[in-house]
Amino acid sequence: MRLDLQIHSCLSPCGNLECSPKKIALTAKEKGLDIIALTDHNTAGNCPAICEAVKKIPGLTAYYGTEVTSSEEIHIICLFGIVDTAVAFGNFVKSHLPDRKNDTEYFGDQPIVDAEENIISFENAFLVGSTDLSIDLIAEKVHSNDGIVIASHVDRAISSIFSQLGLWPDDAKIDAADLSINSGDEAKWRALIPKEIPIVRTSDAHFLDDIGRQFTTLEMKSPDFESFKKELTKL
Amino acid sequence: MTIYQLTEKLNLKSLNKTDDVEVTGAFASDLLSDVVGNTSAGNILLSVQVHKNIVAVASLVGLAAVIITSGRTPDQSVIDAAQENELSLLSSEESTFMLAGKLYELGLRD
Repeated sequence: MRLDLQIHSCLSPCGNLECSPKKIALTAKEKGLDIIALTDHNTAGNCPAICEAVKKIPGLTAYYGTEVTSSEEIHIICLFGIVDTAVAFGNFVKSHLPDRKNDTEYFGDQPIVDAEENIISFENAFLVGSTDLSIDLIAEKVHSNDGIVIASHVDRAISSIFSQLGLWPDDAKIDAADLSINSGDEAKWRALIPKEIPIVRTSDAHFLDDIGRQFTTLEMKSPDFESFKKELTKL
Repeated sequence: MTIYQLTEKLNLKSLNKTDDVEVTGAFASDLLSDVVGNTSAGNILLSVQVHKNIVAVASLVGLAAVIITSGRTPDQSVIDAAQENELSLLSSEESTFMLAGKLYELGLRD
């Protein structure tokens, strides 16, 4: 199965307004993906909409998550199989953001929408900020809720585990490492990432056209989250 | 100048107990990739970074000490790791900027 485990919607400050959950789901199907994960920055506010949107598209499954900014300013993809778990985790993350409002003139609106592209509300939290949650604490919280933790775009010079921490932390409870589309020679990164950590590829789409530009292939009999967790360890 | 002398002059708090060592220079950064690339053995690091990797990176490049600034406190596991690696871990209520200025005044200019 083809999985794109990092997609941003219009709710992300940097996400294109065109990226409604409905259009994300339709585009994912067009691009031949089987499983997508919605991972807006520090919120899971549009996960209920992607959950509804994929129900209308046979053969497409969604996982639910958020890309959390840790206190070390590392981007961490946190994924769950159950939408309510993701939303609750997203609210927990949001409560650990700086006490500052979104600057709509600078970062744009952060709309929470339904599966039919109606705007339900505007998120005014400072989603672009960093939480005061350490990478270890985030991993512990995600795992206690049966989720998966992926270090995002580890090859990037900003907001990555390597840029912030210099080396892969030997006791990190990270389930996988994501390489961006610009990562270049994979062997170089494979040598820096512990061998037991699987490498995944995600689109990190902020525009509809980006969806599926990179994806991960897993041998899965069924698209459920538990099968994903099991197969991920075999990569 | 040595770590013990700096600790006294700058009113730093020692978070663990290590031998006194000579300081060759100082570096200020919160990005540990920057520290790995741009510091040399015997330097001290000023940082608000409290992740345990400060110990791993300090051991890798042979830093003389790490001073955590702005009153941040690392977890006990980080202090324990520093002790295990015989790395002097210190903290200061002052910001990196203020502390760097004072180190410069004390004659540490590398």
